[in-house]
Amino acid sequence: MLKRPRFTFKIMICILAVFFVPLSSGICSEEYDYINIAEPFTHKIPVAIPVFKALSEGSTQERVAQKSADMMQEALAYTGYFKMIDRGAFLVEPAEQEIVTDKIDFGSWTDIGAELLITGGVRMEAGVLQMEFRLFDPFRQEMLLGKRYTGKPENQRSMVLRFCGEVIKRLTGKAGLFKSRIAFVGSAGDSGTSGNGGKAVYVCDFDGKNIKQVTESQDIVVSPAWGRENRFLAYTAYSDSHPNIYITDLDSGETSRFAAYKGINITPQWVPGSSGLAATLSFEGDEDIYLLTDTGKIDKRLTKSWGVDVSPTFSPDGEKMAFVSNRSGSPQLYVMDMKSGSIRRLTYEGEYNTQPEWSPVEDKIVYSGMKKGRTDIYVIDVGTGEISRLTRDGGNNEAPSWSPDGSMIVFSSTRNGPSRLFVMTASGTDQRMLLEMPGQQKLPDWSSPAGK
Amino acid sequence: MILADISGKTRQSEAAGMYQPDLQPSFWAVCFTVSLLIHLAAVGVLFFSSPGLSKADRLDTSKAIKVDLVSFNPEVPASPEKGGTGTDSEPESDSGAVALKKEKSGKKASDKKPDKEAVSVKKGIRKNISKDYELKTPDPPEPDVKTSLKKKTFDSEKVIEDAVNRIAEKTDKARPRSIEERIARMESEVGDKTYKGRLGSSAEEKNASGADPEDFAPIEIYQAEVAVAMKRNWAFSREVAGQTEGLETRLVIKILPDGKIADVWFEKRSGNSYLDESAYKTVMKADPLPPLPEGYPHYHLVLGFTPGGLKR
Repeated sequence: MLKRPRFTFKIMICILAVFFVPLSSGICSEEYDYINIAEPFTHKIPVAIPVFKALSEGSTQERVAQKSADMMQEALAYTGYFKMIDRGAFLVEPAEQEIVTDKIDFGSWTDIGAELLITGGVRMEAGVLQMEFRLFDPFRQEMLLGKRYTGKPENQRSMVLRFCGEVIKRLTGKAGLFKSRIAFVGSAGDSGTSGNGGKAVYVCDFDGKNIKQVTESQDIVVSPAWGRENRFLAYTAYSDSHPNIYITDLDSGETSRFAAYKGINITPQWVPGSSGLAATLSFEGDEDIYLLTDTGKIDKRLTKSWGVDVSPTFSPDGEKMAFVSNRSGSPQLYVMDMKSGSIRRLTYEGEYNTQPEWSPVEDKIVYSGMKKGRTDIYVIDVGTGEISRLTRDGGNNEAPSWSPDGSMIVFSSTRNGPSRLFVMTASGTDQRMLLEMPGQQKLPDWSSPAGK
Repeated sequence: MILADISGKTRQSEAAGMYQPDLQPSFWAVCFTVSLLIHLAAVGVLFFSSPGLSKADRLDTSKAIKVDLVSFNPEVPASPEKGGTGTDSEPESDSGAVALKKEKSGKKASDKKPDKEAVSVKKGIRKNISKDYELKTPDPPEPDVKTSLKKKTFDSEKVIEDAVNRIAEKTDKARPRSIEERIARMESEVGDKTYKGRLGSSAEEKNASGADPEDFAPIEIYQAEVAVAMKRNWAFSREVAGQTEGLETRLVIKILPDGKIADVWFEKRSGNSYLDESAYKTVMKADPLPPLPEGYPHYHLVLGFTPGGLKR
């Protein structure tokens, strides 16, 4: 008689199971239709930056508020990550705008598609400038970042740029490039010693502003290279037709001669994690790359092949060095392992590949390559050997250099006629002129990440 | 004797009477009965109030996404921006606003075009639109509003008026009536924004070759419309996201008959919070969607956002 309850027991279980199955499948969304969205329409984040609010009375405040809002727009747009929403599209009048979380009507910002909103307030009293900025996500209706800066009125730009750096850090986790600078060779405007037009090394801010001349005008000066926490610039200058390496201290303005060995002394490059430099010297009869100490003494000869080895560039950890060599017949890129000394060839395409620079954040090298007589900028992946071409059909594009965060590249281009400096994102988009001066601008070098 | 151990259950005596004095199984039987009744009640509640189980959703489960989304939403090979065409990217790109030339001081001279995705206003203004509207050919983005910017004078009335006009235009455009009109509208929208020549010709070919709009079920067309609306609103910076190869964020949306999105939730997060947020914002920006086809009290749709890897 025990079997009957057991049997009933089983019936109960089956009935329950029957009811459970439709319950679970009904809620499960695998039954729903699926569509795939694979390509974003825009690769830039729409950002709204209304004119900042003057928090105290005075026309100076209004001017500062307007100017700094424009400055912030330009700086953020420069990175290529953002698309600034035109202020004409805003639904809020500037006079009535709110700048703090509790009071902002986020709906009027989401309506115009702003995925980020930056508000600012400016207060100037007794010669002290105070600016406060806030970054919001209007869709989540929350503040992501808020900062207040106090200082002299002339610090306006650095306050704005500092906040921009915070914004980038908040969004990408990495420091931005707003503190970086670019060195380049430009025409000095005078006729130089030989009457051909003097050249000099110049330095400007990341966005091409605040250009300063760093060296004296001279006949030939080439390949500036930032070093030692961006306090020094090394470069090659010719005196009596003899190329020597000089180093200028940007803080003190002093220049010293670093390497003047017999033959040529060219393409200096600072070595990560050490105080020395690598350069190409030919005093032993052949153009090879040497390591030099911080006082310019020979430390070690790195390459020994017949043929010309120039343009050293180091991986961020200093363990590998890429350089240009014509040992196979034409100038190509090679990579050397610093510990073992073993060398392997990196590029096999193109007639003439030079001016390499290793990315500060990954194992990719940007360089200029010539194909069919035209020079363009390429990036090669050191591990896979995969090559991307970043410029095409626009004059000669040369001397590329990475920004310290690896997100942008500066280079020179003759696409508009005279050689000018251009910048673009690391994927080759948003190519635009950086600055314009009389004469030609060439051979840019973007400063290193802080601490190198 | 065992009866005495179990107290407080009046049913026990009944059950005890039906079965053998061995009370253990009967106790369980009673528990099961009680449990079964509770489940029945729960199921009943769910059946009658949960929309998730209603028939409309089950209408077509044959993943009919063979909807040639390809023709409405073509694989876009490297856009004109990537791979840097040196000559054309400079004047057209929005970052012309940066105007890095020394002489100019940050005038946004080139930034006049009101891109639709930046300007579109998305609150539900649909209620007042008459249904007898005829479809207009959509205009290319026009810069008429921007003349006022040259002087940087802010005329609030004009802005409001222009905003209202833009809303009116947009809602006008959003109410096509027939399937042909809807397909034509989608084609022209996508064609305006991406490859005018390419898409235009392939769409024409398709229609000419006899792929009639009537071949598509209304819900398939609707899915294509949703895909277009999502894509149009998706702003995503691969540089900010970092490595996104192989990642997918899946959102489920519940759409009401008038096109409003009543609910959004993550079916699957990608692990990249920027991608997840970007997908979520896209859905919020795309709200409200076009109205559902007839016969759907609501509709659930899974959206899979796959940005792919970083192309260099």
